[in-house]
Amino acid sequence: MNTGTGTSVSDLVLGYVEGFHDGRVQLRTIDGTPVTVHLTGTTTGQLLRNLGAPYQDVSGRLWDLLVPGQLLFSYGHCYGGDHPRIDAAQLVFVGERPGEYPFEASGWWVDQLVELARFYRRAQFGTGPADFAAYRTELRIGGEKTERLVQETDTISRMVYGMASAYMLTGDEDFLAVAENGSAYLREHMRFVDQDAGVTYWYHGVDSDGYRERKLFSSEFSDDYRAIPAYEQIYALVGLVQTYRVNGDPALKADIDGTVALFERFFHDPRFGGYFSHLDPETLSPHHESLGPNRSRKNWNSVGDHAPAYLINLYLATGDERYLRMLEHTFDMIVSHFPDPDGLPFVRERFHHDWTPDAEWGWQRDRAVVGHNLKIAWNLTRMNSVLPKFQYRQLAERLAKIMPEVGRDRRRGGWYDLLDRQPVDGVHRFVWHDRKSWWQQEQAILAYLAMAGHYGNDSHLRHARESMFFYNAYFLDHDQGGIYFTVLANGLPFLVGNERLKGSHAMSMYHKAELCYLATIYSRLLVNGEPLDLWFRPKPDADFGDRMLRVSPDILPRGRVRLDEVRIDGRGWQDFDPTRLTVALPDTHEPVTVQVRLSSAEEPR
Amino acid sequence: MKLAAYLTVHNHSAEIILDGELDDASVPLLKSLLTQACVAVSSLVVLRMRGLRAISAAGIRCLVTTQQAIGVELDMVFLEANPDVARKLSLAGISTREAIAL
Repeated sequence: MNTGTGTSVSDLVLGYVEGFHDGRVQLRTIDGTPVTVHLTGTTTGQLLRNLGAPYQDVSGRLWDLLVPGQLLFSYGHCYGGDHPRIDAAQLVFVGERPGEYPFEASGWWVDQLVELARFYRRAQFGTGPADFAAYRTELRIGGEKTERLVQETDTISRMVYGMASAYMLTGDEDFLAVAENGSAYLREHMRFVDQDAGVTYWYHGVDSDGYRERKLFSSEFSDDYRAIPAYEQIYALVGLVQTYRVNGDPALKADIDGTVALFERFFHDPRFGGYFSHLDPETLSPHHESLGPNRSRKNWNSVGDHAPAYLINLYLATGDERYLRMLEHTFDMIVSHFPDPDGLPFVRERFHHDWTPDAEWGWQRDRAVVGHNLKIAWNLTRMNSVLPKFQYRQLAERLAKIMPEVGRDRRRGGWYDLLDRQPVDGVHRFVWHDRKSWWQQEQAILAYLAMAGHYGNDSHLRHARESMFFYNAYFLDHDQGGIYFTVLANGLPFLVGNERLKGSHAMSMYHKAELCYLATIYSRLLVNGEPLDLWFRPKPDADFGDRMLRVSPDILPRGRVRLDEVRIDGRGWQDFDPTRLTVALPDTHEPVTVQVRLSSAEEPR
Repeated sequence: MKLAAYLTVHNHSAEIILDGELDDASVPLLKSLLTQACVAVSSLVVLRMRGLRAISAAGIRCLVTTQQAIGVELDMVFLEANPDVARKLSLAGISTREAIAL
């Protein structure tokens, strides 16, 4: 009897080819499950491509590519009933041959960052000067500005970070000009220098109806409404510090230090340690009753985000022991208080002032953000290379080992979002959905790539490659540019509500640029042992503390990278330390362009 | 010198005249007047600062939180600040004016 299509669903499989015979492809998924997909007369195939690269059709030579060891995605129709089968509609191959990963080629992530920088520059400023008076936080999917005229401090700073990072990898001075203009705009319009307390804080943003401008001092975001969240003060620094790394601007340094002073004098808990999550905007007290459920609280953001957002970069730029001590404190708090004492795989993220867990807060309750666990593993790995502690590596390794089991889609690839910390029937269930967001894929990639580079673990490298494959296959918007905010579990873009935007409170140019920048660093220098050029443009009055430009691109294992060559304004410069990765700057009256070549001091891992 | 402040209302605008020193202790007085002013009028709140000798950061925070709360429908302008007060406001991202037509 004809039953039409029967029971069917379209779905995705990520797997390694084990065999190909008679139109049937035997795959083994990333968790070792065998799956067979059938080719049909309309099955298409493509090679993975980068942003801005042309579509590469391989439909006519699938037989050449379907060889054992090949890693691919198969999207197709899964039929149930008495004769279940999967028909492959589209295949995406990671490379031409098994073991070939194009995102490990020298220029992949740099090219991607250039495409992203051009997208956001064009979206905000067209081809003219980067006048941040025209900047808008909200951008539609193709980069068009919406009717909303708000300029949020954090999204400007995140764009500044992306542009400064793009300059560091390319030397393209237009990117630096955007970063410097954005930094100047933040200082002029979004800054509050509190001379009484000796600190600097940042407005949430500015709103305008086209005629009148209204300063938004406290947050307008629902989680933090009308409070001063540590999160927003932290991310106000993300672009300023990256720009400061490039040009050493003493004005930026003063504001950065003023905000660090804010964290130390008002957010820090001198009794129990860590940093409170919110301050009352009038009294600057973390204990004011106006804060409601945010009163006297600590969370992942207020404790853990300092390191990746700005503090590691600030330490790299200055070598200042103060920042190292602050880093150490944040990581000591993480390893002491975040792991679950009952052995649950996911960390706890919200706390009362005395570190008792807060399992009642807002949407989070007793729930896990997968990306935060991966972010902890990644940053503990970085920190362990500058200040080795057994607890740092132990927690990083534990999280790296368990997350693929509980936080990853083992059939389709990619990493989930919000899960219940407590398992039900052995399963950590989805809280809202099974979609995958761009920033959480970034945390996974950087965690496993950093750990593979630092420790040489093949398992970590495999997880990194599988994660990079998913991200590059499904998050790059080849039609309109930029990166998708979220995809469905099967990789298709989810374009509903705020998640259809390319610019919003939640998305600017930070995570996607950070991924490109650090994936370049980890892949080239640590994993593949390839040289890397970086650019800096210190001002004549650059304030690095000692007229020494520090060019280490990230916290790297001691002795693994050396500085081979320095050029200043195109001419060779000899006054540098190849093992400390420092350049003694000449006295000048104008900014100079410093191009450095770093190389691996070891064989590739 | 303690803060002396009073409020006058003209049609759609309100003026708050500030005299003395706006320190942390006088913030509640400022907040009370600002609240009354914003309730009473629909277009403009003017703070005349000619007699204001000093302003604390807490006082400035009171101004900006009130400005945020009232929205874009109601203007708030700061007039006649002496150089020290104007500089402190400028460091907080707030511009002042010498005069305004009411």
